[in-house]
Amino acid sequence: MLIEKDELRVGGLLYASIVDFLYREADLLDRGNFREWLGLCTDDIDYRMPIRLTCVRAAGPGHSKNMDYLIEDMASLEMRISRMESEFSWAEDPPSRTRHIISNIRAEEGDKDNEVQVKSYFIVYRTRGDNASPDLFSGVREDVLRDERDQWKLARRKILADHTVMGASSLSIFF
Amino acid sequence: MGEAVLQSIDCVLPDGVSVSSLVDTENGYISRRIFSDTHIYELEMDRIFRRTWLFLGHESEIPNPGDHVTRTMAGEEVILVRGADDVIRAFLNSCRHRGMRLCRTDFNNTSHFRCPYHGWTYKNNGELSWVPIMEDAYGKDRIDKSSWGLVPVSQIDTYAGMIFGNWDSEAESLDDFLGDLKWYLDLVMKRTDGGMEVFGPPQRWEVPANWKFGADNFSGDNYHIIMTHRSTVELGISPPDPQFSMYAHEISLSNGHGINFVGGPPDMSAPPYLGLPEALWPQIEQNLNPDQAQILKDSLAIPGNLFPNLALLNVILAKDQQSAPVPFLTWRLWEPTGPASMRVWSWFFVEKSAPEQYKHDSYKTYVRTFGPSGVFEQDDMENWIECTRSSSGKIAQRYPFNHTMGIGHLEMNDDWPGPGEAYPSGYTEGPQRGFYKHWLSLMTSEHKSAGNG
Repeated sequence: MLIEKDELRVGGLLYASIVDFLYREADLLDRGNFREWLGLCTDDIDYRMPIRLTCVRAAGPGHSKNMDYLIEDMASLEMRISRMESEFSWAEDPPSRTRHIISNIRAEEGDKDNEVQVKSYFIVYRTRGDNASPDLFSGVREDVLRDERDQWKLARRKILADHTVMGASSLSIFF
Repeated sequence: MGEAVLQSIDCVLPDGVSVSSLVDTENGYISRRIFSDTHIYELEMDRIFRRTWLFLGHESEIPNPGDHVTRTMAGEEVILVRGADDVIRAFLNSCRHRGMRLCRTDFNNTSHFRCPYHGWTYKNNGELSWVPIMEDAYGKDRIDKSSWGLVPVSQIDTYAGMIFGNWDSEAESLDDFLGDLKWYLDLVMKRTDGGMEVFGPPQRWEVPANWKFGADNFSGDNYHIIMTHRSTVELGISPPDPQFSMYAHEISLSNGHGINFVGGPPDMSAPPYLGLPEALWPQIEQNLNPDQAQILKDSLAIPGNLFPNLALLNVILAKDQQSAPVPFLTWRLWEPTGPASMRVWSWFFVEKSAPEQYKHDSYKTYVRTFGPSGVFEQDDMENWIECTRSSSGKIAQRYPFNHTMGIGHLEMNDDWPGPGEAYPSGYTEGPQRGFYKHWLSLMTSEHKSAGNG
């Protein structure tokens, strides 16, 4: 596909295809189709979620450069997904129920001709068992999507969460 | 500091049940009630958390004068700060005037703490240095600044760069409190030149579980690996025989500390020194005595719990199904936030003198296996949450937990070269019983006050 700046604006054709990609991706995650979701990632996927600290305004948003909640590549994502297919994956069996609400999507040209930079807000509700109160995660995802044979694939994702202390007992889900 | 003079005073809960009746370490029965009861929790805050050494952080987290972080001791927030004079101190994070929280960030660097409310200003050694408009507001010489400094944590001390604080000025020294555990701490923290340092800030997450489930597990539960972490065996990132953790020594130490050295079956080939890079071996052999070095050489995993709520795990695992296993070290605090809740703080440590690439491999291995997204840690949390949940029912509380493993059939190994009581199996609950025994001794004792005969 030819990546043109104008088509990346809200309403542009490429923008629409990016939104469709993100919605499709969220749907796969929420339906637990992790293998298919992994198929939407490039082989060199770089997927991370830094921890966050409360610091003074002048010091910036507080996302750590040295500690993460998630720091993944294709091999480790594959490992996590294989684990969920095990009958001994207690934290995700019975599985969490998630709902990825994706919004505020904006796209720009990327560093390479076949890449775009995409930012999207997320709210993820997650419940397990009979817990009536969901875990609630929000933040922004800074992605790089790559055109591979006219299909978008996720090449890079940095998940910048809005919380510092994680209000959930485990992060056994994807964002 | 002096020896604490404690006298035995059993405590009776409002319904007439005595605390001592809830814990029988000789026979291995621990009441579910201690994992959920509000009164027990309050008593723990008083008799354990305000009287023992609590982990605050590592020197490498506050390397420069003025660096400070906020931490918690017995539910009260403290500022852990390296002063302008390079001395490490800790203070209640509260202005002496109206109690306003002075540090509202997780970390910062400052020469002075300035209160946002009325501007009272303290040097980073805790001294009150400035009260705005003092003479007009209070009159001349009406405020003696020297008696309005920040409330200091009564005792601060470090071992192997690990900083501990104690609210109790009469408590035994850190050195005495750690006791024989120091021999093993050296093995973990001082084996390479420059020792261990933190790599990034701690991860923090909240778990609706009683803190003692974490302490219990890391003290000496190698038995849970076969089931809880079986998925990792299937993945091939754990040793192939899930029973490998039986081949271990569990060490009970005084003051409720416990540590384990897990090897593996004799026919299992394992890299020496937990798989640490060969470049570090000469340092290990130089910095440790031969007994310590041999123990480390034969180990694949070193879990442990420093009483009351600081656990460690030094272990070799793989970060995915394709990579060679790499060791890492994590220390974690089970911070109690209620009878059925805790906040977990988890630090990743690495050898200061290790090659850079190794540090990054070790780091990735840690994040993917432990911490809130860790494929091991996730399943541990699941267990402790549900165990806590079932600890609050009155019917359930009639049935104590079974902590009998090892009683009556496992003899100590007198040939173990290190200190403490060493049991030659990963399948025993000796250190856990030692933990509860010390827990009980503190829960049923009080300071002798000056007025008593």
